[in-house]
Order: sequence, then C-alpha cells, then structure tokens
Amino acid sequence: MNNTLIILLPLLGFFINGVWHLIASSKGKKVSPFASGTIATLAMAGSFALALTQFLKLRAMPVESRLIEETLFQWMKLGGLSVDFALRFDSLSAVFTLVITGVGTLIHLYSVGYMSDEENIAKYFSYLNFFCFMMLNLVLGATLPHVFLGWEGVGLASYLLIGFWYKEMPNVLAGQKAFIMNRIGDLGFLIAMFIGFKFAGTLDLLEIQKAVLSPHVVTVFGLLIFFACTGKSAQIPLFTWLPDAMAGPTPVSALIHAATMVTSGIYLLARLNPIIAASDIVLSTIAIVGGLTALVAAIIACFQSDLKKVLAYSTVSQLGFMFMACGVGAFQVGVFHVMTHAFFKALLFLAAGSVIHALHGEQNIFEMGGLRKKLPLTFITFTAGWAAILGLPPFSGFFSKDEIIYETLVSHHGNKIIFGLAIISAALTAFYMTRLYLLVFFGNARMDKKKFDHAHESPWVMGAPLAVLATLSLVGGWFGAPVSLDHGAAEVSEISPHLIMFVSVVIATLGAGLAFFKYSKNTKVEKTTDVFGIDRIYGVAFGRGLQKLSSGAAKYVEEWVVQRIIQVSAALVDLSGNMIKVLQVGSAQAYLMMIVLAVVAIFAWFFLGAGIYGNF
Amino acid sequence: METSSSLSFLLTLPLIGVLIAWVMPKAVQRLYAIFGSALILALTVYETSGLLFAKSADLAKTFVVDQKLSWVPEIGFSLSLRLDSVSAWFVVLNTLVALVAFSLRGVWYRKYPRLFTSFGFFLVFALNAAFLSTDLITFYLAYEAVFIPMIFMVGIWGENQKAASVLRFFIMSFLGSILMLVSIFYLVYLNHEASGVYSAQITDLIHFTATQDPVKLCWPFMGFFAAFAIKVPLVPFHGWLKDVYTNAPMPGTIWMSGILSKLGVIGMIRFVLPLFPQTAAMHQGWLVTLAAISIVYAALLAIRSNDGKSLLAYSSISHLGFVMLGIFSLKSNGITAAILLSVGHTLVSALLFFLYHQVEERQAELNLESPHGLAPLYPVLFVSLFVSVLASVSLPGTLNFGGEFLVLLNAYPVSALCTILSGLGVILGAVYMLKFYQQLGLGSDAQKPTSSGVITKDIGAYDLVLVLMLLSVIVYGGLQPAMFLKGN
Repeated sequence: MNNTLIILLPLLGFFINGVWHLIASSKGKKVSPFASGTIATLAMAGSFALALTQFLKLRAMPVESRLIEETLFQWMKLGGLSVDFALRFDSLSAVFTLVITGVGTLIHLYSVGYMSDEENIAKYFSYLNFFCFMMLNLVLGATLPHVFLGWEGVGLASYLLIGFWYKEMPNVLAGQKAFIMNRIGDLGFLIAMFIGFKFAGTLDLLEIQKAVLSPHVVTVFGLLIFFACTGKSAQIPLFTWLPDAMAGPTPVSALIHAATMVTSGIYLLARLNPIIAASDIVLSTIAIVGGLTALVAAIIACFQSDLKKVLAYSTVSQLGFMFMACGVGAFQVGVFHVMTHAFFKALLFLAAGSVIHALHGEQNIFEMGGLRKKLPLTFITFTAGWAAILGLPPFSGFFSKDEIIYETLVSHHGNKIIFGLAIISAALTAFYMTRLYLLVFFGNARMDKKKFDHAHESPWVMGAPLAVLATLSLVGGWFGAPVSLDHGAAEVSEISPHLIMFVSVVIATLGAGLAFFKYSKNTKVEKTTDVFGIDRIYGVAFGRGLQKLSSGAAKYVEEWVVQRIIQVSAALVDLSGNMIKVLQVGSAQAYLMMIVLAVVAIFAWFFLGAGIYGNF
Repeated sequence: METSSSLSFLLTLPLIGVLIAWVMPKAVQRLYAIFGSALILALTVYETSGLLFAKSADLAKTFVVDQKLSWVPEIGFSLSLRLDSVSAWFVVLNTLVALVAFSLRGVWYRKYPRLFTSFGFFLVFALNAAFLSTDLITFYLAYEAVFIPMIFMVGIWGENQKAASVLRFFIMSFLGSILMLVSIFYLVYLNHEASGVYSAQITDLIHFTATQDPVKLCWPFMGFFAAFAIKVPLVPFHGWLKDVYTNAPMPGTIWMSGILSKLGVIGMIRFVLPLFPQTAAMHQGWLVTLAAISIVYAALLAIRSNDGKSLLAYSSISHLGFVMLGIFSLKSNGITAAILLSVGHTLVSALLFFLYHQVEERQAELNLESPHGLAPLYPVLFVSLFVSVLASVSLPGTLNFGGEFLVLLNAYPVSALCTILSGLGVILGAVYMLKFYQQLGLGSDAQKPTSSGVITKDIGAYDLVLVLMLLSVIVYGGLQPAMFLKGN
C-alpha cells in the first residue's frame, strides 16, 4: 500500500492544484501562492515520509530479499505479452525515490518563495507534482513499459515547465526542442523493448535480466537502451536541449534538469546492469560517450556568461562522469554520484536562483560581482556547493567523484583514455566553477548601483532549503554508496586509492587556481562563445533538413506520383463509364441516387418486415 | 438481448431516425439529432454490452449473434450479418462519432438542416450495415451507400473548392468500388464453377479460396486491396483526401476521418486477410513497407501544413498507417492491436476535429504560421485540446499508446526495418502536433475578438461533457486496454 501511496500523493496534489487553477482562471481569480504551494509541498513531504518508512522496512529485511512489490492491476495483455502495473521498491529504487521526494520537497518549498509573484501559481505546482508522480513511476515501475510511461511522462512535465512562461515563444520552443530530442531517444527505448520481447519473451525488469540472450542481441539491446539514455540524460549526441531548458523557472532547473529527471539514464543502466555489463562493446561505448560528454560540456561551460547556462553545461558534464562510472562497470559509483550531485547541483541552482531573485532576473555573471556581503546565506551555501562539485574533501562530491576517477583506472573495463578524460574534465570543472564563483560573489559590483543596493537576501522558505541542501552537500558522501550492484567491485590493484585521491585534489586545486589567477582581479566582460557550434550544425542538419524533406515530399512526390494516380483513376473510371453507358441516366448524382434508393428500400423492407412479422 | 432482434434493431433505429428528421421542425434539428444519436448510442451499448464488457475472449464468443436472411436464393444472394466483438466496437464508435458530428454548430443547421440530420442518420445506418455484414454483396451495397451522403455533404455545406474535391473523392472511391465489385463477381463466379452454388457468403468464399492457388488469386486480392487502401487511405492512394477533408463541413470531416476510414480497416480484417491469407503473405513485404511509408510520408506532409484541418488530415493518415502495419503483420495479435488502435484513432481524431472547430468558432482566421496565444483566453478548451494532442502523440497512459505500442511490438518480428521506420512517425508526430497546439494556444498575448457573432466564452457545458466522455474512454482504455483486446 505504501508504494502506491508514494506515487498517489503527488498525483492527488496535481489534481487538486490543476482543477483549482482551471476554476480560478475561468473565473478570472487568483490562487493564493501560499495555499497552493502548501498543498503541493505537503503532498511531496508525505510521499517522502512514506518513502522513508519503506526504506527502513527494506533495511530490516535480509540483504538478498530486499524487495517490496505491489501490483495495482493488469495493464496490457496480448498473446504472450503480459504487463502488470506494479511498483517495486528495492535498494536502487529507494535511493532514487528518496532523492526525488526529499530534494523534491525542498524545491517545492523553495518555489513557494521564488514563484510568489507568479500569476498561474496553481498551474506551476500542479505541473511540479505531476513531474514527481511520473518520475516516481519511472523509478518504481516493475516493467519496461511502466518505466517508459514515467520516461515519457517526465518528458511531458519537462516540456510544460520549460515553456511555463508560454507567452514568450522562445521558452515554448525550448520546451519543444527538449520534448522532441527526448523522443528521438525514446525511439531507442521502444525498439529495445521490441527486441527484448522478441528474444526474451518478457518485458519484466527482473525476468528480462534472467533471460538467456545471445551476445549479439545483448549488444544491440544495450546500445539502444543507452541511446535512450543519451536523450533523457543529455549526453552526446542528444545533449543540446538541456542548456535551452534553462528557459524554465530556476526551481524547475534544479529539480528536473539537475537533480532527478536527467539522471533517469543512470537509473535505467543501473537497473539493467547485468545485461548492460554483459557486453564489452556497450560498456566501452558508454564510457567513451560519457567521457567525451564530460569533456566537451566542461569546455563549453568555460565560455558561458549566463549563470544558469554554466550550471546547465556543468550538469551535462557531471552526467558524463556518471556514465563513465557505468561504462567501466561501476554502476553503484554512478548511482552514488547521482545522489551527491542531486544535493550539490540542486543547491547550486537554488542558490543561483536566489541570486537571480535578488537581482530581479539578471543572469549575466559579468553583470554581477561582490554579492557575498549582500547575500550572506546564499554565499555560504553556494560555497558548500562549489566545494562539493570541485571535489574538495570532506564535501560529498569528493567521495563520489574520486571513486569514479579511481574506477576509470582500476576497473578492468577502465583504461587510461577514460581516466585521462575524467581528470581533464575534473580540472575544467574546477576552473569554470571557480570562475563563476568569483564573478558572482567577489570583486566589484558591476551592475548599476541601484540594483546592487536593492539586492536582498531571500525569505526563509528559500533560505531553509538552501541550508538543508548545503548540509547534505557536506555530509552526503560520508557513508558511501547506498546501494551495491555487481560488476563495480574494484579489482585489487597496485594503484593506491590514496594516490588517486591526492591526484584529483591537486587537479581540482590547479583548475581553481588558474581561474583565480584569471578572474580574481581582471573582470573583462566575456561574451558567450559557441565553441563547437553543435547547436548550429543540428539546426541546419535536422531543422532545415526536415523542412526540406517535407517540402520536397509535397512538391515532387505529391505532384508527380499522387496526382498521376488520380489522373489514372480518372481515366479508368471514364473507361468503365463508357462500358456501362447503357445504365447511365445522365448524371452521376442521379445514378447514385438510384443506388441509395434501392438500398434503402431493400433494407427497410427486410428489417421493418422482420420487425413487424417476425417470420424469418 | 434476443438474438436476431439486436441486429435488425441496429439497422432500423437509424432509419427511423432518418424518417423522424423530416417531421421535426427545422429549428430543433440539432437538438433532435443529438438526442436521437445519444439514444441510439445508449441502446447500442446496451445491446452489445455482452460483447463489449465480456471478461474474456471466450466469454465474448457466447454473445456473438448471426443472422441470415435469404434474399434472392436463386442466385445465392442473402443478407447475412454478424455481431461479434470486433463489429460491436465499430457499431458503437459509429454512433459515437455521429453524436460528436451532430453536436457541432454550423451552417448545416441553418441551410437544409433536415437534409443534414437525415444524411447523418443514414450514414449511421449504412455504416452499421457495412460493419455487420458477412456477405460480400450486402457489404458492397452498404459500402456504396455510405458514399452518397458524404458526397452530398461536401457538395452542399462544403467550403471553397467543393466541386473539384467532390470530383476527386468520387473518382478515387468509385474506382476502388468498381475494382472491388469486379473482384466479388469474379470470386462468386469461380466458386460457382467449382461448387455449383452461387454464394457471396464470406464463409463459403473462404472455404473456396483456401483450395485455390494463391498466385491465381492475385487479381481479386488486388481489387479488394485497392478499394480499401483508397478508403483508409494508404499512401499513395491518398490524393483525394486533403481537399475533401479541408473542404468538407466539419461534421463531414469527423465522419470521414473518424469512421469512414474504418471501413477500409474492417474490410482488410474481415475480407482481405481471411479470403487471401496466402496471397497476402506472399505480398507481405510491400504491404508493411507501404504502411511504414504511409506513416512517415503523411507525417512529413503534416509538418509543413499551415492549415489546422489539413494538418489533422495528414496526421490521420499517418496514424492509420500504424493500424495498417498491425493488420499486415498478419498475426492475430497484431490485428487485435490494430483494432485497439482503430478505436483510439476514431476517438482522438473525432475529438481533435471537434475541438479545432470550437477554436475556429472563436477565432475565424487561423493559420499555423504564427502563434495565436489563445490558451489563456479559453483555458478549459485548450486543456482539453492539449490532452487530445497528447493522446494523438500516443503518450503512455492513453489508448493510442497501447495500440501503437502493441502494433509495433507485433510488427517488429515481421520487419525490423519497417518497424523502425514507422517509429520515426512517433517522433514526427510530436513535431507536428506540438506545432499545432503551440501555434494555436501559446505565444503572443491574444485579445478576445470584439466583432459580433463570434463566440467569446470558454467551451460550453454540453460540449465539455462530451469531450470529457471521450477523454475518459481514452484514458481508461489506456490503463485497461484489455477491454478492447478480446481478439478478432
């Protein structure tokens, strides 16, 4: 029952706020942000409390049987396919459920303050609850179609929330881009399911792992699943939607585009880890793509001037780290980093939101500076997030990132190339984060004086979540990965973990030092540079390509083929018309009228007759 | 539920509806049409409930009703009808579509309203007859009879270039019908040669064709196939569609895309596959290819449509391509999935055209080149529209997802390549449907029109009830598709 309630509470919140919004907006009335926010936040808090009790129940069970399953109803059944709508709570789902509901509750609370001036507040909270409902389906669903339901559902929520300020068309188009790029990935998911069903005969997440599949099938299946992950988790080649997604409200960026939805890919790989790890090709593809994404996104982040965009590219890069971990077989390290990243990245986004809120919407980091005195709480909490993402001990990011770097070298799926990518990306992370940190909080105030004077610390509803997340960013890594999955067990190695720890701290310090050297004094304004121009290339290749294809179809195929078919039909009809001229009365309509009258007469005779006399 | 009465009842009721339309005053035609079709719908659901809500396929079989009336025994023509779990859904949908079409306000209730209502009820009658017949001659007559009110609807209440579009519609449909008729006569003749009996009964002909060389049956197969491929339509036989859909009055468009297209679907399921199983298997390669091409090609055309109606028309072709893919998988599971998707397609396309009409009533000049920003003015209408759009892009949890997913799942073992190609339709579907919604609802700040005669209120209570009814079937069916999956 508890599993069901975990997902039902956000659904209930969605309905209450949704209906409230519709009624209020039909009557032209406003909804109280406090009341609406309280409902939504309570729904999430309740869900979190339930998740916690389930988690404790799970801990009390013996390790090998840690699973709480609830079947709600049978969903689809056709031929050999039988899909139940069931929720499974095990240690992997537990991590994600706790992060979603826990961080979710904090972000809902924060939104009460951040969005207090918003006109359609009930709509906002209903979407946010809807997102959590779908995300929980994604991590609790027992079958691939159920995961897919959540997978597409969170995509929809993301679309709605990115385009939340729908009067500005660019916001709407950013949402559209996210939805469509995600759908491209989803096609991989769909086809993976078809292959899975064809060869394993089941779509149940547990049973499909037990199925005996040929290496060839395993490879194709794994690659398709990973392709789906590149969409949802913004990896090369489908990562360009995530920076655009920053068009949405900042709490949305924190919840969906940093802490939860974008980590779905890691969840899926970890969930299917026996199949994924069974193919070396799949593993090395994941590791290489993850490594390249980590590097490319980190490079781009160094050239951004928009506060949220830096964080967005940083998210892409960090997700790359998580994929690297999965790619070397260290799935639980990847999940560990999902958790710590959820804490510190949500924190960074919310702190950034607090800065933006204080400056009335300013997002350009070259228009900031010197804010540490004005926004002390934001500054302190941001510092915690900064230290965590750099991987400075004893902050949470240190433990998870360090383990990833260690695994890339010592796991028997790892190698020096992956390790190199990880190290360079880590150095760049330290560089762009320190650059951001210095430009926002240190130096002279570069915005006009009035704006600077007006800047004020946010209300407690925004401050409290920041404080909680800052604490979690500090202690969140102390207890190690909360889940243990196979294939990740590091081999006994000659390389000491302490050496790697030392190296990664030195690397981070170097990156930060370089940024310090460059940005502590000199604050020459930099424009955002489109380093690789990937977005532009996609725009030409797909955007315009699709338009060309579409108008080509209309112009050539429609005119040359389809019209010809009509002409040929006309000729044939004409021919047959001549042949049955005998019957022709004069006009087509008269002829047709004859048919209809005859039909009516016959049917009427039969059925009225049958009805009246009943003698058939 | 008496056995034979339920069948005659399904045919006589709409005919009575036609007759009453002529004695009803012109002013109350809409009211009459709505009440009449709602009553027929309720009775139809009641009569077919044994089939619709049966817990299992085996249980459903006990409710199957057969009726055979000898007509011209000398030449073997009889009127035979069958109500089973497939036709039950189609007759229910048929009446439901009529209810939706009748509910629209427009020129058809001002100009010759009696003619409109009686055409509508006649369509219900003829379509019911077509969905129920198991005799080729009966089917053919009903199939032709459907065509006539449709032509008149476009001709009388249509827009702009109605003459040209009527002509194209007529030519293509007529060609299909002729080819089918010739094929029917050919089969009846061959069967007579072999067995000495004249019969157009589908069961007799199936027995006969089973003994024949599949290569020899190629021509009649093609005849039937062409008729139904034009009706659905499958690319490249869709040349008639865009002009007719866009120039037809909205109720006509709803009838055509919602239920007339299903004549092609039921034709393939009832006649083409059972009569020519081996011939179809021989041609399966290009059949599935054609279905996949339909999906992608129509989606491409939809992307560049800047007129809402033609965008929805192309989208309809694209989704029917999935239905055809399921049927051409030639597996009973694929066909069952195709029936599920047909139900979803009927509901969603009726709903989308219905809601689009509502939008048009509020803003006369609609094109999809620029954003109109209407959503904040009519929040309830646009939420309904958005949910329908989601069903149309087959988001999991809707009936259409169940249908498309199960169709593709069953088509995959037949042709991986065509399934993947069809899968592109899922992506393209999102491209054009989001454009459709966004350009109507989002973007710039819109003002309510001030000119008189234009509706400025949000969706009305009755319309909302109708929309909610359709949406609840779509969502309920999305979570419990088992109801629609009782086999064929």
